[in-house]
This record gives sequence, structure tokens and C-alpha cells, in this order.
Amino acid sequence: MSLIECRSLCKDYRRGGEAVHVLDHLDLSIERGSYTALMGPSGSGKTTLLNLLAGIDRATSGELLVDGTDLARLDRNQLALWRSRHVGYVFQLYNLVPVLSAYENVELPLLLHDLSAAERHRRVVEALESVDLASRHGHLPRQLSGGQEQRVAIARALVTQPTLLLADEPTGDLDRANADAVMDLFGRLHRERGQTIVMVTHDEAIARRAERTVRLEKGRLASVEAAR
Amino acid sequence: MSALMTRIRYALRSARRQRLRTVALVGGVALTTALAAAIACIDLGVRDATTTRAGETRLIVYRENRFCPFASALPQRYDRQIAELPGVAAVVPVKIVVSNCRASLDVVTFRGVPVEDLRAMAPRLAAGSLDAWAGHGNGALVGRELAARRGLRVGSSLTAAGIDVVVDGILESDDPQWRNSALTHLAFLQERAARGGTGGIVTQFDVTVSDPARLEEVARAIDERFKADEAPTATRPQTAFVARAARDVVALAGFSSLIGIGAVLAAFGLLATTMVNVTRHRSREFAVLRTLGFTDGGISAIVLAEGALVGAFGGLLGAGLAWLGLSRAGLAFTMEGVSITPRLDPSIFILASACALVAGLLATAIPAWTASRARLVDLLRGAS
Repeated sequence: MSLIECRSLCKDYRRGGEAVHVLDHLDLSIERGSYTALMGPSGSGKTTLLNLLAGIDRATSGELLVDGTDLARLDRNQLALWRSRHVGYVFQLYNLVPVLSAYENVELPLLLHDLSAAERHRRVVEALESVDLASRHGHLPRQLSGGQEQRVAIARALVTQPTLLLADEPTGDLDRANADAVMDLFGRLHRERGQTIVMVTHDEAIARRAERTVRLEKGRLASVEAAR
Repeated sequence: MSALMTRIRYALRSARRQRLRTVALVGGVALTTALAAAIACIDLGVRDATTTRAGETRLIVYRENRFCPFASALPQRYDRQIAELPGVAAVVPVKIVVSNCRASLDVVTFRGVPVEDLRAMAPRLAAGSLDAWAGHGNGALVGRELAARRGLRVGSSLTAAGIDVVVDGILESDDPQWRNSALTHLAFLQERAARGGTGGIVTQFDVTVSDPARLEEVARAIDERFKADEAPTATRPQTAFVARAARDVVALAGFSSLIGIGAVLAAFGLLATTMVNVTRHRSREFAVLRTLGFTDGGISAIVLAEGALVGAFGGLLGAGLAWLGLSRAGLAFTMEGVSITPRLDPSIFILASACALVAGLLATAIPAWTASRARLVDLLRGAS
């Protein structure tokens, strides 16, 4: 069964009094445990689709089911709670909270879960170990390199064991070596944990690391390609 | 862990890591709270000293149309004639010499009183002995606040207004006039003040009436009695006398209250503006928190918790500073020989701390609401 079902999904914005159809009757299914790259030119609707999948934005019309939940039926606070349980989100610019240490950043989403301090600690340490940054747990974001910051951000996204890992150009701000390290990490998560990953990227080489590539053009599905 | 504790914990971490900002905000709130509490204590002191109360029994007899201890001269023999009037319970002739007749924060007021009259009043002494003072011609019983201000102890010497005395005791009293005076033997002060001249002249009479209801009646009777005499008198209840004598201090206290209110409002405005700017600056952080699953209420709670923490810490610190400063300084506003001292009422400090907490919450109410209502997708556009 598909984890994500988009049926005739539309998202319109008004820009200068004119309606812009960012997503135009998009139909798309994403399987549980799959690894999908979303590609397309600027303005094709990739990030908008990712935001809809994360419950960050709302569709104008159409239906979006994630793990059986119709996101349109949830109010703002219900969506927030749903995100905290089902979504791990990785930003292009990491977006770690600058005043918190790596450990505290990773612990942050767990503060919303009813866990004991010991369980929280175990999970944070495990997440930091999975991105090879256990030794940097006390560092503030400004004391980390870009690649390390992104790995902490990934640990933060994973620590709640989300149903869905969403990444918006996660390697867009990294050099090739760090980008490869992040992609290796995503590949390992997918293979070893069966993590469902949806990743927006502009980079063909990065997209090839996914199982399949979904291409959008003008808000419509242009193609779906399996990895070669 | 409760949801509220999570927000408070996050706010604490954030405040701890933004040390400079936190110290500046807490410091600002602390100084404002200290200022407001100090002004409130002074205001309370002014009210205590100048508001006529129902049970008041003390009258001050002064020379008519004289407004300074240097100018008020009454024959000491008036005491017997006043004592004979109906409704008078006690009369104490008092000679007053001050080091400065104008408004000042450090005036030494000598009050010369007859030994037997002071014995009859059974004053409370924090240190020293009444007998030692009684047997010591140039001895003085120094009020607690004057002693604190001048660093005086039993055995210390005090020189002011050309008069030298030795401290024989530290006086405790509910009356701020006594807490800020040096009580000497009447004859000694008369002799020193007259610079070798004759005694028999006093500055005022402190009259106690037997029935508070007869206060005005007795005052009128005294003034009537001496109306045609060589030294006509003006008799007022003690609080009214203080209010008249210290009118400039009362006016200054009123003005300082206005300044204090202005300062509090300005500080609140600055705090609110700072919190608005801080929250705007942190919109990206809040967008990330909301992406992680923090609800609107959760974001509001974080902002409010930071405001409350700043208000609570600043308020407690400010109240503590005000308490410490006022209790150590022995502050007294003295004018024309009467003193007004701040009253350190614990309720003022509790109220000031509570107001700082509420101000912290109010200052962050709008930023908290704004932070929680912003569209997440718009915030993230700026963040990603």
C-alpha cells in the first residue's frame, strides 16, 4: 500500500493579483520504504509538494493522504502534532537552533514526546552516533562545519523515528565530499532501516542515489524514472 | 515532563545562551523595579509622615509665622501654661538645632529635651543606656537611621552645627523624627545654641493630648492662650506640621513619583520593543520549531516564558537591590528640622516583583501572538 497518495492535488498562490498554479492536478503515489528524488526546474512545484507532504502548507484542492491521514482534515495544531510524530524534515540550510548544542538540537523534537529523560538520552546518543557525531554533542552549530551541521540536522530529523523523512535540497549548500557523505547516510538509512525518503534536488548525480526520480514541470508530473 | 516545563526549559536554555541580551534585559528590568520600589517606599514614607490619622494625639507648637528651627523661638515657661489647658496630657519643650535648614539628604538634627521628660517616654534603645545619657551632660541618644548614615556607635563622637556630643545610645522609634535625630539634654543644647547666652528658649513644644477627638480643640486653645503674648504660637497636629515644614520634600516626592512612573513606562516600552525585535529576529528559529511539531500555543509559551523569566529575575533582583540600598543607606529627606524616611514595607517589594513579572508577560504578549500566527510556509521561505 502507498504511504503517500496525491490525487488531483492543486496549490495556487496569488501573485500581484494573479493566480499562479504551482501544483496543477498532480497525481502521485509514494510507497512505504521507498527513496524518491523530486526534480524539476525552478518553479515546477518541488518544494511546494514537499511542504504539502510535511503538513507545512495546505493544498488548494485535491486529496493528500499520508499513512492514511487526510491532512486537509487536520487543523494547525493537529498538523503540528502530526508532524512531530510522522515527519522528519531536513532543510537545505540545516536550520539548527543556534543557541542550542548539537545534543540539544537533536533532543528538541523529543521534548514533544512523552519520554523519560533516560529514553530521550538514549535516542539522542543513538541518533548522533548514526551520523558519526557523538563526539561533537556539546558543540554549538557555529562550532561545526557545514557538513557536520547538516548531519546534526539529519539526526534531529531521525531521532523521533518518523514515518517519512523529507529533505529539501539537503546537499545544496555542501561541497561534493560532504554531499556524498550525506547521500551515503541517506542510502544507509534507506537500506538498513527501510526509511521512506523524499528528497528535492537539482543535482542529477544526487538524484541518481535515490531509487526513483519524479520529475515535475509546471506543477504537473512529467516523468517517473527508476534508478539505473 | 509536562508541556509547560518543556517550554520553560527551552526558554531558560535560550536565555542562558544569549547571555548579553539576557543580562541587558534582566538588568533593565531590575533597575526599573528598584527605582519603582524605592519611589514607592519614599511615597509611603511621605504618606506616613504627613497624613493625619484618626488616632493622632501629638501636637507641635511652633512660633507663629516661623518656618525654620533657627527662627522659631518660644519661651520655655510656656510649657507650664500649656500643661494647664484642658485636654493636654503631656508637654515636652524641645530645642532643635540643625546642620542645614534647607532640604537635604544628610542633615543632623539635634533635639534637646529635658532628661525627666525623656525618661517618662521610656524610649527603646538598640544599644547603650538611658542612665549613661542622663548622667552625661554632652551625651546624645542617636536615632538608628542617623547612626547608620553617619556610621555612629555607642562611644562615637558626633560634631555638627558647631556642637560636639558623645553617643550614649542608639535610639529605636516608630517616629522618623526620632530615628533621624540626636537627642541631647535640653539645657546643653540651649547653652550651645545660644553661644554663651541665656537659656530658657525652645524651638517648639511637643504636646500630647488625652483624647484624639480633642486635637483641634486643644490646638486652638493653645494658640488662643498665647495670641497676645510676646511669642504667639501656631499649633498643628504633628502630621500637618511635617507636611507644612517638608512641603518641598513632599512636592519633590510627588514629582519623583511622576518621574518613576515615566521611567517604568519607558522601560516597559523598551522591553516590549526589544522583545518584538528579538521575536522578529528569531522567526526562522520559530519556523524550525513549528516544523518539528511545536504548536502555536507552544511557540507562544516559549516567548511568554522568556518574558516571564526576564520579568521574574529582573523583578526579584531589582526588589532585592532596592531593599538592600534603602536599608543600608539610612536615607532621610530632612527640611526645616523634620525628616521623612522611606518605609520599607515588604508588600511593596513583593508587588514590585509581581509587577515586573506581569510586565515581562505583557511585553511579550504581542510578540508571542505574532510568532504563533505567522504562516509557517512564509517563514520557511525566508529560512531555506
